[in-house]
Amino acid sequence: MDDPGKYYDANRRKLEGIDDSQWTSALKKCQEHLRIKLKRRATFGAHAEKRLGEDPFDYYTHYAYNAIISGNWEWKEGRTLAQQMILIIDSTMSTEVEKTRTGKEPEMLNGNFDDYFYSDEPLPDEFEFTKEILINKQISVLEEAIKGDQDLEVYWECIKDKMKRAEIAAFMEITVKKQDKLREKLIDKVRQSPYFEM
Amino acid sequence: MANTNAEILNHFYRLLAEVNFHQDEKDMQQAADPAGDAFIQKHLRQIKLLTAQYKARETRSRYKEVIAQFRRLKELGADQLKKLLTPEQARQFQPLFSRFEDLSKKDEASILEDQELLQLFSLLKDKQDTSDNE
Repeated sequence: MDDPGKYYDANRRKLEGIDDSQWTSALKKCQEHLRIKLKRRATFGAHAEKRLGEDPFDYYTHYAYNAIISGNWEWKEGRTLAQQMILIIDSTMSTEVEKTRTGKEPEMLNGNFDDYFYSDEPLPDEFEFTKEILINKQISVLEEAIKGDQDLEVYWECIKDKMKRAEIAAFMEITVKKQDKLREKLIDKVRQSPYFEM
Repeated sequence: MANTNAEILNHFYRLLAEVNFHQDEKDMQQAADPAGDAFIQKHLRQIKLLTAQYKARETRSRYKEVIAQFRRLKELGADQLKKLLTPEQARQFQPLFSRFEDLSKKDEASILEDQELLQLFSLLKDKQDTSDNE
């Protein structure tokens, strides 16, 4: 058990308003975030999780709520519990990768999240042949799954044009909530494929 | 130049992460997922345990602080302490002053639950601090 950190009292006051259903939502979001991050890593490289010695879902999720409950990490104003946990997870994952690469710790990103999800870990210039096969297969599974669904076909074209969440909603003239539903629909269609398993 | 499959797929994963981050928790699909449920239940238990451990630690630390405060006040003696209060406050807390004289170890254990006594400690500490500063 870590010693209480400098944010212990402030975080505890906020946590007093959090019930089981809110913790459950936060844990689900973290789990989904880790699914996406680990799937991306499994596709593109950087198997930092092997160094952890335990299941990465458990390791990073536990790390995130422990950081908040112990007060060693500030739960900043304007963020939901899930969002703060996801940012802690990302920072910890980057730290793991960075430690492997350089032995240095990266700086924590703050504030504006518009570009946040598009700024980390650029793709390496060259891919191994097997990775390229996996990538092409994932693309063809996706394209096969959405065939005949007009909304998803447009949604996929937006993704191919590298549009972000708000840009897609604006382009398709739908609300971001409706756009979020399309994302769920798309994942549902490919979730069972052995190339995704999300 | 057209984006390569690798770039498209990389962007796809990033978009999924962005949507998950911003999506309203109430709007999230509640898919039946037994493995996911086991994960949630396991971590909910750990969260409760961790929260209880920190709370117990906080209570122990608060208890030590109050006992130390109580011992400091006791050294001053009841008569001296009464002088810090207004006559009305002294009358109000009169029954509690006897506890300064004969608080046993057993009583000390329940001190954190005695709101009246804690209120008196707090009042006396404030008065003492003010009188020390003057």
